[in-house]
Amino acid sequence: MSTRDQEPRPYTGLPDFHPPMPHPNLTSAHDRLFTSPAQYGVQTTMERHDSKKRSGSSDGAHTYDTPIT
Amino acid sequence: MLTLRLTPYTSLRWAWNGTAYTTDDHASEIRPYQHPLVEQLAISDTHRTMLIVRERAADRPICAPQVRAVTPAEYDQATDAARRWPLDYVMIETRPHHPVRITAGAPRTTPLYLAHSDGVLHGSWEMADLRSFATALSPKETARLLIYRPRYGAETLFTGIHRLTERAVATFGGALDLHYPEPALHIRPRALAEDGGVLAAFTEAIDNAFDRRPFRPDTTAFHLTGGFDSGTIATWAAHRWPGQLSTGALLVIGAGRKQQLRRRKQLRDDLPFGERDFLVDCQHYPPLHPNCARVRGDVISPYEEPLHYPFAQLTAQLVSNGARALVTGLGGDEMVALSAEESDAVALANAHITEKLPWLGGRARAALEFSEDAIAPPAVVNSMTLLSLETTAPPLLRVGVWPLHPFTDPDMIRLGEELPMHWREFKSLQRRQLASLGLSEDVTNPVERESFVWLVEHSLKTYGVPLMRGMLAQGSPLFDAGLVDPDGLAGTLDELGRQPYDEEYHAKLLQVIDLHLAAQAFLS
Repeated sequence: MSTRDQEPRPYTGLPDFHPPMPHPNLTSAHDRLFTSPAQYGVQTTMERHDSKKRSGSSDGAHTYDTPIT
Repeated sequence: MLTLRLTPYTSLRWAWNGTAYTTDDHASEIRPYQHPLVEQLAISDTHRTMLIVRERAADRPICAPQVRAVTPAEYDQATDAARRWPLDYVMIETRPHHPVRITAGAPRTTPLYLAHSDGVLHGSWEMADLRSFATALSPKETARLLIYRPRYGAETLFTGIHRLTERAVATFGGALDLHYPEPALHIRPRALAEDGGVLAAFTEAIDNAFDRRPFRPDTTAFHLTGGFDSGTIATWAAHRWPGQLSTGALLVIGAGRKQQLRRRKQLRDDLPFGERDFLVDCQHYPPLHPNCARVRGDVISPYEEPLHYPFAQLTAQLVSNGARALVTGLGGDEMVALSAEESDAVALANAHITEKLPWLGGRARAALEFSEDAIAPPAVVNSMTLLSLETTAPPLLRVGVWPLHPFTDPDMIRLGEELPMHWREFKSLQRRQLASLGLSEDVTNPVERESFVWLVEHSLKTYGVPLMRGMLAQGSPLFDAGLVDPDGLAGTLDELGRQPYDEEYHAKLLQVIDLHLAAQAFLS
């Protein structure tokens, strides 16, 4: 994380439109975790809108629910 | 992250005036939200102009906001590159004799609502700015909200006000077209290597989420509710920036209260947080209290915090102590969610959703047949998370605080989706991470339920019932539109006095009140 205190000079070149480079090691760290290939799919409406537990931060009441195991 | 007023088919020669982009005829204006974590930049090839307001990335100098002259080829390259910005952004493209186009980024850290009239497109993160464009209640959206089955899409509670959803494009010139993107693809669970360092990958993903933005720990507050999501994020951050981080939370009432106090104390004692902790006791600031901005009649979006009053108190305390950004645990539930195929618990969690609510009006009930129509396709960030970000952002932006949600980082989302079930069920990922920091069984496996359900019950019985009696006596746009049945509501209130409170049934009355207050504020 950048912890610079002073404001840098404005940068006027076009490279500032380009996204930052990806983290150099992230992909390899993830890939070391798994033995099967990544399989991509399209979520159903329910998958992307399900309530995730009886109540919790996804619902309107914004509970801090800590469900009993 | 901005407000805008765009008039296509006018001058469209843009310049930066120090706080906003304006055209030379003043028919159009784009005013970025002023915050250290937000920047703006613009280019023009004398014919086309692209202006972008976006979240700043770490380790990149601040961009000069002045409109830069470029060649057509440079314009195309820069615009294509800008669309790949990994943090949130809003891009506006203008061109003489053509409609204007607005494109939203995927993270949707802050919402953008749009409305138009007389050939002018207006937009804001603050729905109240567009109040004059609200014409009526949407039956479909009202019904979805009343039965607690929300759907992420362009439609809002009010016809005339639209939501620009993640990666969507708004095109305005005569009429407004909102175009959804292709579905974001999501990964299925994968087989874990025997020596897979899941917790190492998890903390690495949290670090990467932090490192994308140039926030300052000394002006960034962290939610530390006692819950596993904010707890995981905040404890790792304290480990990383010892002695610097302030924390805040709402203190629940009910069975989990003492446990929450005890667990939070241990979290703060055992990890090197900063000295400042802000705990707002909800028993003193219950939602629906007469001092609540919603209840006072302020124009508050229906999508903002249901617990508006206590969260406003907490935010005020954080701001008065120097916070300019707030880190939350939003998205943590979704990161480790089980699918319906994996667990009956998902079906159980959704079992409370029912259309058999006696207060549901006939027009709302009829609209439910179409509740899945025209909703957004799968998003990069889970739809429920996106809706929860929308509840959080406006109250924070109003007081100069930028929201940060590490669980919505794409690498966090991906890691969660890939983990096998035994790492996701019962939030094992978060629990094991907290345990790895040496935190006790009380912290990692609490017995009592820490929840707002008792606060909601208390608020409904104390303040909500009189508010609803007032609705019945004085009327409501919800009744007039056939969306809430006054007889059904009156019967429920009568029963409430005679029968035990059912948290999964009676708590839904909170939405009746919030929608009534919003309808009165926006439509009267």
